[in-house]
Amino acid sequence: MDLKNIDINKEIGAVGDVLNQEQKTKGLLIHAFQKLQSEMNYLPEEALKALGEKLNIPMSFVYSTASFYKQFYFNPRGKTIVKVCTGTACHVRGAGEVLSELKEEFGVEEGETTEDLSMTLETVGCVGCCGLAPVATINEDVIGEIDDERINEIIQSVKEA
Amino acid sequence: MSDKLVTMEIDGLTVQFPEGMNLVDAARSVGINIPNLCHLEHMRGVGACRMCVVEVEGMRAPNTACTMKTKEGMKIKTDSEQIKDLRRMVIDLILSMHPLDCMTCPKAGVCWLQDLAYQLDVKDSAYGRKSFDFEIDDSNGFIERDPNYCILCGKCVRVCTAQNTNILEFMGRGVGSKVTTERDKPLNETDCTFCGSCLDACPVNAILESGRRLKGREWELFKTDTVCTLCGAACPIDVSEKDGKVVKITSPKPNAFICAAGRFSYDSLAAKNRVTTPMIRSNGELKETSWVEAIKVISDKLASARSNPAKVGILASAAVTNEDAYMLQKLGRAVIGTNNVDSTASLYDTSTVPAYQKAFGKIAGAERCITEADLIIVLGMNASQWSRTLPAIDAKIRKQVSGGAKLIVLDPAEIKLAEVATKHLKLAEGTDTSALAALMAVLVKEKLVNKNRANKAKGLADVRNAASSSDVAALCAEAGLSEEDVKEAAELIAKSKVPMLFYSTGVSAKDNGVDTVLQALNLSALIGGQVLPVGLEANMAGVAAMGLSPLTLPGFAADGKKLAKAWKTDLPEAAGIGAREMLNGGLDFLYGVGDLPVSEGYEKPAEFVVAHVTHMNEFAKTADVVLPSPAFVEQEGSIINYYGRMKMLWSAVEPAADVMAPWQMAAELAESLGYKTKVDILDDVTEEVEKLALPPEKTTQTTSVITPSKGTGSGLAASGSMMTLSGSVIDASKVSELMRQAVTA
Ligand code: SF4
Ligand code: SF4
Ligand code: SF4
Ligand code: FES
Ligand code: FES
Repeated sequence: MDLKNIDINKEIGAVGDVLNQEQKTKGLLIHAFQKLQSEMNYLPEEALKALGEKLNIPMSFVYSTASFYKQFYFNPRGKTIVKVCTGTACHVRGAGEVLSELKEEFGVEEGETTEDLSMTLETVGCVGCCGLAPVATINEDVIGEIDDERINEIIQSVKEA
Repeated sequence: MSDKLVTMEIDGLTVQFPEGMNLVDAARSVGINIPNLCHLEHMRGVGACRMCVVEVEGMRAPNTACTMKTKEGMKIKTDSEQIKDLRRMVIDLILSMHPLDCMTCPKAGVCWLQDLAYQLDVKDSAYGRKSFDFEIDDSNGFIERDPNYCILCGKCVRVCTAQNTNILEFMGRGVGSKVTTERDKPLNETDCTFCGSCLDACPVNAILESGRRLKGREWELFKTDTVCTLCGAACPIDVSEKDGKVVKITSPKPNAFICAAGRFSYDSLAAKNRVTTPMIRSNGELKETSWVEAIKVISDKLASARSNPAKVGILASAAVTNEDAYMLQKLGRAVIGTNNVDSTASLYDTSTVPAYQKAFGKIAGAERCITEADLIIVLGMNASQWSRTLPAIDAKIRKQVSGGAKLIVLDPAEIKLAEVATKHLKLAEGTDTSALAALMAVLVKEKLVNKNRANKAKGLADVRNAASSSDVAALCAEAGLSEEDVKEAAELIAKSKVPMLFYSTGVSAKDNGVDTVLQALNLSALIGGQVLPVGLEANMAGVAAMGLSPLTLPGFAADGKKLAKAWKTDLPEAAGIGAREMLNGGLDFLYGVGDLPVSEGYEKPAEFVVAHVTHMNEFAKTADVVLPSPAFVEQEGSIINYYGRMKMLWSAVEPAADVMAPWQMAAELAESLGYKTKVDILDDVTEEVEKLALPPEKTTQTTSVITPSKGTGSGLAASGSMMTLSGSVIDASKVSELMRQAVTA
């Protein structure tokens, strides 16, 4: 998105009519975060800086707003996002092992991305497939009943992606 | 708040308050302290901590007092058992995420959480304790942040935001959320100015002076309320001392601002370049000597120099006390017989004294406080927290604007304050008198201000007539402003109730500065406003009132008759020379006191030079005799601040040097030249000042019609700050640089 030439009224559309200037700028922030993230996969500091300057909002406030939402990321994300479920059912059925094996294989901690940006490892609360525990998601797909073999499959699919 | 009073009942006590006052502040004003953790005095309540709950008659559930306002007939209970239980629960929850470190915690004794837990008798949390192991930020030499202690009250965020530094914010959400900087950066990687407002606001140990640990428990500290003399803002400060050393400096008023220099530069007291003993030059080098010897050498020189008083000069910085200033000019006038007495104030302000003498017969101050102002007009004053020029004035104005006050900036340049201006009138360079005349013309012609709101002033009818017969279009054209812009500004003025106008060197150093100041005083009289003349040094008004100027006698006396009688001597008749001429050289004898702004390689200005200083500086390097003087927080006496109010300086620590104050030195020299001063102690000077040098009490303003003119020139210091750090006068950019070095070191 072209941060230098944002037109608040154009970006924010019809809702803008009922908002004051301050509400508009704040509303636009979230909208801009979403656009930026869909373009760049995360919210780079430089882009946020340009955005803050353009909207005349201090950086502390920009980050405060963005960090309120789980959906925004401040570091580059991998091509494949692996989320290991650590909900109760998965926890008791070995999510911990799944997680540590993936950590070891890719040399990353929870919440980190591999240096080659191939993968980001995260955890997630119950994804609603407790019957298949332990569960992980790979991008949008759910993988259940993870055993050693399935782990290898996950690793393979990351490497091949 | 309105002027209307309401009657209410608090804990069975019938009390009256102004309507619409914050309930916590109101209760406090009658001695009832409603416990609170997130409330900032004079700011809007946010109701975040729920500590201030009270019972309100007619309301079903208890409510937070900090979000309620005083109202007729309101009945509240602040201390019932039900309320106490609710508060206990709040403390219990906080303690479940707070270290129980009171035995070593540096904030013990001033920690609000500790006090409240004690009052409510909560020993530990019933919920166990969760700790987060947050990283501590001790990246800089000034302020340490330890989020593990943070109770998320948000006070630091709100003070930092209100003054527009915008460094701290809430990050994340829910459990594990934290108050920190963008991306959790250490403070020295942000634009933090290290003012420490957040530190004063923090009720617990989450924000702390670096190096505060092990320097003494709070109850061992001896506190002295005094005034910072490092810049023209002259902020009240509270100096804590233990074992003869300054432990910390804080703001004595809740939620007031002091800058990093005022808060942290006390380490300069023991700096390497501190002058600790008298020194005399022999064979080209300064050598230590005794006070007796130093005084003898100086008075011998003075005895012979006195035969040609026109060639003797006394020059002090305008950060000296009233007592210093009074005695120094008396030494000049009564003992040596010269009017060559001046302060550095004349280097950046040649207008305030003559203009005010014409309008008031003295430098008059303001009766209202900036915290009451609903409109602020800034004229030729480039105050900035970031360039460290009059930082407290900048912060105060910004806080007031954050609270809803309007701001009109009259300045040709995009000054930093203009960022938050409601209206920035970018007038053409030097056309301040025209711009002010245009504003007055619009106000009068469009009947935007009625006569009732005017200040009492003689000659105001003439000013009004002149305004109504002037040509707005022509004045606007002269000032390079559009008529619409001027009208908009005039409308802001029309809507205001307590307008205040600040001006500084941007107009007062110009050659038509007297007219500009008079014009500003006219405008202020017309709209019922206040004018605040801000100098770059702490005691600009005081040194003028004490007569440390070739142009004014003590107490702004019109002639010297009374003084001559009291001093038992004739006063010199020949006009004196000012700071600039004295510094330009050619004198036989020059006694220089304090930080005189001369640059590196400065050439000796007189045959014999005495420098009475706190630290070695460029001026002192040229001196024949160097004398040690008490420094900031060691000084005693009084000053007159930019509100025109007398403020006392109390010595908070024993001077870290073998010092003599300038007033005392002046008395010694006078005595050694055979003049009886009757001055032994500071009180003797104070008494004499009270008799002879206090500016007249209330005087009525006399206005005079000013013909707009174009001003040129700017004084030496108008472009930068004269703030001193480690005792030498340096420009603003260098102060920032020094701060940064200290931070990165
Ligand atoms: S020291 Fe001042 S600028 Fe820095 S975070 Fe604290 S309040 Fe903000
Ligand atoms: S750091 Fe202090 S002032 Fe800031 S939110 Fe935490 S407890 Fe409150
Ligand atoms: S240097 Fe100026 S702004 Fe800073 S504390 Fe001292 S008087 Fe206040
Ligand atoms: S706990 Fe993992 S899917 Fe429900
Ligand atoms: S002081 Fe009122 S809720 Fe915190």
